[in-house]
Amino acid sequence: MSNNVSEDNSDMIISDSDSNSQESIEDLNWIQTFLEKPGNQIFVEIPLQYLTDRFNLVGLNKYCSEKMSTMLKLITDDIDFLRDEYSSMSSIERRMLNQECAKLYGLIHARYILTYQGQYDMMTLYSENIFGKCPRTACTGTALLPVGLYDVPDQDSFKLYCPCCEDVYRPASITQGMELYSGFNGSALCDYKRYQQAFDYPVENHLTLRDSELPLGKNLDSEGDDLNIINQVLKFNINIDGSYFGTTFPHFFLMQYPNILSTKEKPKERFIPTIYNFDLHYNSQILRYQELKRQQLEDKLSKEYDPKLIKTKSKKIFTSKAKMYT
Amino acid sequence: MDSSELEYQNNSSDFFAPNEYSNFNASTPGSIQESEDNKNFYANLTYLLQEEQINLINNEDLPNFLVSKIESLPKKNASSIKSLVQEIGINKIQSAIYHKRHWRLMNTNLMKLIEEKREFKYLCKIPKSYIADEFNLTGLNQQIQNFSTLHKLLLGNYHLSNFSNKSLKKLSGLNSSTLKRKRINQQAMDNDDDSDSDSDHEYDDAEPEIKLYHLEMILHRAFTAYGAIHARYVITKDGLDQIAEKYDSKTYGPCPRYYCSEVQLLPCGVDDFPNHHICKLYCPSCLDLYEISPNLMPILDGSFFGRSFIGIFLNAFTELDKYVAKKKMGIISESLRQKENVLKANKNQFIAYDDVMFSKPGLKHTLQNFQYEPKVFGFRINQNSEVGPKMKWLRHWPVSDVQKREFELCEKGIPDINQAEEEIKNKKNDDDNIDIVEHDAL
Repeated sequence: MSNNVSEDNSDMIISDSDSNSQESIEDLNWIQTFLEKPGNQIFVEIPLQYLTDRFNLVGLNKYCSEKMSTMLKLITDDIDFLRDEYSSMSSIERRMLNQECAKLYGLIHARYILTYQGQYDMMTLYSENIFGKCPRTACTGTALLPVGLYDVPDQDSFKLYCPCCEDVYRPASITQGMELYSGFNGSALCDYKRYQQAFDYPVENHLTLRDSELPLGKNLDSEGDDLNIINQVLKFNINIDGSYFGTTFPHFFLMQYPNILSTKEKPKERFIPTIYNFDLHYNSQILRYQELKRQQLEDKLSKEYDPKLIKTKSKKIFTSKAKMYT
Repeated sequence: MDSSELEYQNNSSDFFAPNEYSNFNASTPGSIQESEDNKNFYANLTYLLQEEQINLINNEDLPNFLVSKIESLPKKNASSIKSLVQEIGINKIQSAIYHKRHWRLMNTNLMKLIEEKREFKYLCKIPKSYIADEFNLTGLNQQIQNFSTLHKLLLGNYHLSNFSNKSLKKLSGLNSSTLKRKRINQQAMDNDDDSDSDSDHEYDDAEPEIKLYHLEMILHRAFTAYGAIHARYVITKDGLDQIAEKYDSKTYGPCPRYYCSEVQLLPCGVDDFPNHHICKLYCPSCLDLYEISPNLMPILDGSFFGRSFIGIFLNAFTELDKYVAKKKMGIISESLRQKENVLKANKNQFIAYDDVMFSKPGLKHTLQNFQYEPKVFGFRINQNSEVGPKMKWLRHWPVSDVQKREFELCEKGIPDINQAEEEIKNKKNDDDNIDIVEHDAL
């Protein structure tokens, strides 16, 4: 999509330039190169129509040190600009310009996400579990959403919001995409894989089963070598600013797609630390207090419940079973 | 894996994380054909040498000629390694690694091999005297098969080479009996003959071959036996001290929740039996359980710590509460400072409405229960809406007087809501009377 669009646009904007000259200049697609950088998969591609519309850029001037017009020229791959000014710049200047452009792209991104098309684009990323899954055990791996704590840049990095437990997590300790966990190996004999499959059924059965199921000419011996170490689970880029997503995005997104919430009931199970099956006094008392608060909330919501206002509210909010890890 | 991915990996130096890695299931060293598996192996090797992850492998496991050649290279580039591997041949390297590992497993102390495992970083080092004392091992005989021999191996009295092949196969637990039964069943299903007894005799007479996976399985079983002893050792005073040291050095990683401000986590087992649950992590500030991310930490079994470890640890080290409270106040003051900075820069700046900034008389109340508030364009969401906040009770602490009374009521069980309200009202009246009496006296 990107290549065609940029060429078409350049044709429209620059009527003087010939088709031959276009080919001679290196076709630098700025947005594509930006999105392909490691850690930038969490961004969405903004269409050029949205970028070039000045109405969408109101008020972003004060956050950027460079001129808005030059930055937009770079982002939209203006060929005249690339040929004349950009080629005459020094490498340091280029780097500075690129950094500022990335910042501008992020700030526009925060606005684009709230449009209908932008939310649809984010939905495609969300369905691929690109933002990771909740580390809390009770949430059982609900997919997360990106949040900023501030709408102003240069304050704090982006965070991840769990729609199930409604809390905010640091991206540094969350891996991007839990499905990849099965894809990497530990030290000798694929430790991790073995363990993970072991918890479904005993290890020994697993090995014997596999030995019988293996095709001819293959053995488990080959898993014994230590060269299998590849701990490649994608990490988030922690330096991405929170304002590139904004404070309102996840809640607005959930309003747009309420099915995400309605399909999943909120768990109320807690973990009580014990000593030989006896609960710790203080901890269990606090958990009981929090349980009381939950009951009060449920009571209050049921009293205020008005079926005329919201049709889908008749469903239960919390899971019915009060299961605890004991 | 596609060939295009391979090229991409080799060319780019900044590249650190390809999307997927299919497992390396190469064929045996004897019978290698040029296939995708070989490509995988090749890619893995180049990746390892690029990133200098060789430290993760035990250098002793690599064959000597490879190590010396790699060290002699000017730069650990992909291209130079490419040529090197082509020179030697993949078959040769694979077979060499296989034989080296085999030899090593047979001839070294098992305890040493266990300590070299990556998981061992997160476990206590049990002294030999504790393992040798049989008082500590009562009942483990019934839990674990062949525990007495594994116990001897852990103590370092024997190497694996001292055992016969038959006993090694028994130790590994990969007896052919299960396999054999399956085959027999299949045969019986195919043709209804009485050939079962013949096949049995044939199998027993043949000398069993010991392959690498048998030895690795023995290592794994020894590791589980070590874990079973570990679950008992952790509860002792020395074990608790060792874990406390690890807690200070942040080996178990910080809490992923933002408002816990990187309080360190504690390992925690949900079950006492092995192979039921992976080890979880407990956060002392939000009192919640979290999953291990294998990115930061390899997988551990939950039974290595057991259920009651966490409670004993929290009881033994009561200083932890102060530390957690200090950390909590730290992040609150930080966020306040950041908001002030934003206001200083631009007074007309649009800032999301927040309790902390504007409700200064009730500061204490809000500070203690500092948590995330969902907002749309700076406005809080109503609780009655679908998106509205419904999980605030999860991180709620008793702060005001009424809440503290409610907390006292919860001492022996969860009271009814109406009952709690009535009792609180009654108590309020009593308190008011008491106050008046005191004033009169003054």
